[in-house]
Amino acid sequence: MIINTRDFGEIDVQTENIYRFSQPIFGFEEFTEYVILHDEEIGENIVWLQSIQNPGLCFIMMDPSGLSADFTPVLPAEAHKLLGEGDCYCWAIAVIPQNVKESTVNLKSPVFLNPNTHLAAQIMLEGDYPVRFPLTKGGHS
Amino acid sequence: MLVISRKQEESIIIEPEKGGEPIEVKIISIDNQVRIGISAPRGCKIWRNELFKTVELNRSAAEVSSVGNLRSLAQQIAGEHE
Repeated sequence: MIINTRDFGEIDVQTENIYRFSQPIFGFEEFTEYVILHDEEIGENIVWLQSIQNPGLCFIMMDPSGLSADFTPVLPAEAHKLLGEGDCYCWAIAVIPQNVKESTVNLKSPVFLNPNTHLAAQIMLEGDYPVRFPLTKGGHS
Repeated sequence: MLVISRKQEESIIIEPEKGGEPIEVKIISIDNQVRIGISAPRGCKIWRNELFKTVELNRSAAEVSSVGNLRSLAQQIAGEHE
């Protein structure tokens, strides 16, 4: 199916690649279907979470592994009810202001994607993780 | 912050400005934790405080960021990790 995107114009999406959020992005409960997009120049550590239903709605997510040695996310026991069985990808939603040095990611509530079931959820972790983890050394938390 | 004492089964009413529908906050039970019941108009969202921080950050995250900004961010991060 052809969808409109915020940053990539019109693209062709295979329906089997669509993730359905059993627990939506908090504050955006009306939008539950997203697709993951990459930009070759930017690399694999940053992805776009593009809404299927709303072309203007898009989140930039970073691979949190390697950002902080203290970040060892453990899914709550009941998470498999939201995501189904199997290993999940973990992505942290980034806030990227005009001054990119002030960019942060939310390590407290990452997005989990299960590639087996194509179910997804934003889940608040129990660990004491920062909601504004600075992405660059010039950033402040 | 306004502080009000209430017993179990008692409630308070929050009346928004400009004739908005009132919101009732009721103390259901008091034990180790307090259970609170909230009756609010449709469309009124109620969040646990710790989750609302993530809601605000999600809203900031959804604001338009140009691909150019991202490229320079990706370069900075890659540079720091070299």
